Amino acid sequence: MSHRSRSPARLLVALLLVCLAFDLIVLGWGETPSAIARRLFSGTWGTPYGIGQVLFKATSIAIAAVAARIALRAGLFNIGVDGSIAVAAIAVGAVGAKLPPDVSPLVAWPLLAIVGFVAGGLWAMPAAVLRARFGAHEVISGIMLNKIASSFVGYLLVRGLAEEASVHTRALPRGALLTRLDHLGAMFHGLRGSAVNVALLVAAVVVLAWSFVARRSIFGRELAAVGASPSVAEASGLPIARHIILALGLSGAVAGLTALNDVMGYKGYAEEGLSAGVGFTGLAAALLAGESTIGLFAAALLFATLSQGGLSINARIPMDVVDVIVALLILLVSSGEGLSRALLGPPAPAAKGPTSPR
Amino acid sequence: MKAMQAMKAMQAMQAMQAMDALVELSAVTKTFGSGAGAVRALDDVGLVLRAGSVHAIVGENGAGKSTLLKVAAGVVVADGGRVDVFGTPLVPATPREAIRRGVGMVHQHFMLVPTLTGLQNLALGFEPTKHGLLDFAPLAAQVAALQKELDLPVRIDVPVGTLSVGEQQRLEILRVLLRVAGGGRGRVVILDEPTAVLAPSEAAMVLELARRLAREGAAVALVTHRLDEVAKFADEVTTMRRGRVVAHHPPGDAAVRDAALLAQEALGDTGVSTMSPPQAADESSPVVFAMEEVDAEDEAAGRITGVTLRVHAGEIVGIAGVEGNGQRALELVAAGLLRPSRGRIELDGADVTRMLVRERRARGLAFIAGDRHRYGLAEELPAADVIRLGGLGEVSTGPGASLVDERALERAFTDAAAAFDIRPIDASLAAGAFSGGNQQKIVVARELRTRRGAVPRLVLAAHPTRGVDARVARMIRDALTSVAARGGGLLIISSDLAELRALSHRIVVLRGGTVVAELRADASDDQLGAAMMGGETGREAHA
Repeated sequence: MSHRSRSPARLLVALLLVCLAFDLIVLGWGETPSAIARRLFSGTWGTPYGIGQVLFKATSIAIAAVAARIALRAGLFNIGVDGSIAVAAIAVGAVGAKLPPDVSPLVAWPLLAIVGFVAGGLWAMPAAVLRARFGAHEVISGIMLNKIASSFVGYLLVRGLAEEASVHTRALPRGALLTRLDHLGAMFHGLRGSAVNVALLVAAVVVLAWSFVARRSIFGRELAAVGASPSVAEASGLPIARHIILALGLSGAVAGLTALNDVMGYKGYAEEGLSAGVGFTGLAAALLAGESTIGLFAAALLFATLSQGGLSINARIPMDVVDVIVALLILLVSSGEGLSRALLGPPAPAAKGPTSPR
Repeated sequence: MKAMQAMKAMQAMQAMQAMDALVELSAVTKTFGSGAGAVRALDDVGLVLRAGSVHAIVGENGAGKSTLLKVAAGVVVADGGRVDVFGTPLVPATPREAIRRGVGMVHQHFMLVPTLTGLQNLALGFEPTKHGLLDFAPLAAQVAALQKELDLPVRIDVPVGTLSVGEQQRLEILRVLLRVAGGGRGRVVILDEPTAVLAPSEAAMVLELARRLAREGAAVALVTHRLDEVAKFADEVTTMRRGRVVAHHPPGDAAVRDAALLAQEALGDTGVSTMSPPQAADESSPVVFAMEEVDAEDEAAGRITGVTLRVHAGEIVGIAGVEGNGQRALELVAAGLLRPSRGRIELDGADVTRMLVRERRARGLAFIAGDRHRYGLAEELPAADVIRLGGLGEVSTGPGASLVDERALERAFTDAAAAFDIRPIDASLAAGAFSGGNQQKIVVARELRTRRGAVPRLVLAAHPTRGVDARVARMIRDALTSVAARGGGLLIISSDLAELRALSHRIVVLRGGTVVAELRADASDDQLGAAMMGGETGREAHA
């Protein structure tokens, strides 16, 4: 019923059904499922380049998933992750372009990370404050802010941020670019050409750090109390308005760190629509993973694989099939309890205990 | 000839008896959780609900009473054993199927939508239509007929949130009766602690209804902690202890009328407590809590007008009244959850009128909420977190005291479990997996704890022993009085007059949202009753 528990059996059922749906769609298109599946696999995990691309995509998805998870902990659904990502990217691009050409990575990397973090967090503030002070639903204001963000980014680019005769910011100086993994040594040479970069490590740290904070810190546990029951949390004396603002703000701020991967690690500049949709994929990965840390890594890799694989099957079958698969997977997992009960019989007794009616 | 007749009579009687058993549970087992945290809620339990009989199920908190009846109503699926309804197994074991067969349950926690009217609530799930449009008229007529037949007064044309708890409960009973009436083969009505939240006059109304239903051929199951009710209203009694049936007294057994014996069976000791009024408090001690001319109103919680009251250090002040006369508004205003529109509130000498719960707690407020699910404990959190909800800072460690000291937290739970006999002693179990009584113990243990050696300045407690068994109730009352003995003030809202009288130094009576009387604890029942009812008698007072 919540995003908290995911039994392996349930996930397995969902995955099997998704495979079945994939087969049916591919057959309906007049292709052979096994051939398409082989193509999907060889385009991703089949070559070092493919692996590199999957890891590159998984980096942003994992960071966005942590952003979503921070809000989910407090019972909030931060659909505005995508807007925070867009605004953070343009902020990092704009500030990065202003850095001197010979800037040192020791200055540029942390500075731009802070810029992305702050920009993403600030963009989440309107939704956060509206929710905490006036009870406005964060999904509605989040959707609106996403629209505003994409228009805002376009406006800024047109109004002078973009380089002459282009639709992107000026290129970042060399020192502001994140090192690609294939430059790190002989063992990574196979990844050549793929965009995977050291932001991958940042993503890993962000995932692990939040898992620790959520589980072990007083703040993380109090967020869980707010998420479990805001009225109980309030009556217990928790500062719920403050916690809601912090949760959504931190969620947006962490989302802003995706600019490290997409702007500093990949493009070297910011443009409209760069990393669009990553926020939603991140939300999906967070929902799929529940509260599991390993699950989050796995979900990020899965969605990255599907996204990259979509490109390699596009010649034979529209890559939209991947979107259908992802959507089905989310539907199946979120409606999973009733579904798996229908298929597998009643669930093993959970720690939830007697089903007291509410 | 005579022998033939006798045989026939015997066969008829046997057939009758077989028919009489409307619901039959045998060898039922149920375990919640798994591994070390597993709780055996039911262990090889049998129960027969017969037509024409009020069957009381008694036992202490967590004995498995509610779970057993939920199995009968299809709400909880048993791990093993047999559930027969009207002679055939209950398959599928769902509430829908149980209702279809004529078995309905009124739960401890009402399942009503507060913003809808009573009639709309009754219609929920089987809305009556005419030409595809909603048509409430036939249902309203049906409800009116049923109300008249059963003498069951409830206003069904106003939002449920504005009804008293007693009315809400009668509405729930109406709903169940409407739904199970279909079969026409007699019906089974299960009442889970129906009187726990009711004032005495309303409790009597429900129990008399139970008797009347039984007389008309229904099988009634009744869970209660009030053994005097059992002795007065039940035909047969099943006693449970720790998931097992320890005794069954069939109709006619003298034990059914023997509250002391039942208490001994259920608790393993003579659980009947001897409550006596406390010594008078020292009126010269400082005022720890005061309300001056306070007005407040809330759609759901009701209204108070011009309420003035004081609580001195070491004093216990009880708030009495028929449910729905402003007690909830008073509770929320005193806690800081409802802002007054007029007046002034002081806590420990400081003006806290505009302060939130958080700030009042920092000044020494402890709050045992009447609505445990809304304000007391979050069911999905582990019990350890609940025992220090809002106070995790007391078990902090690490840099900047930002981390939870898990060991200290677990110790906090096991200490509380030892002090209040919370079962099971499993800090990682979700709070919602504990029985209702044990949940209440968790809340009480949390609120009455000493922080850095200091007792709370004011304990605001609404219905602190509601739904807990006699032994635990005594434990909770002792804990409350010990706060007063150590200098804390207490404001206790309760519908249990015996409890208020035993605990309080003074009793303040609320009627229609205003203070109508202030009585000494040794005031007579008549005095209290007159103040609560405003001189009227009988049941007009509930409306």
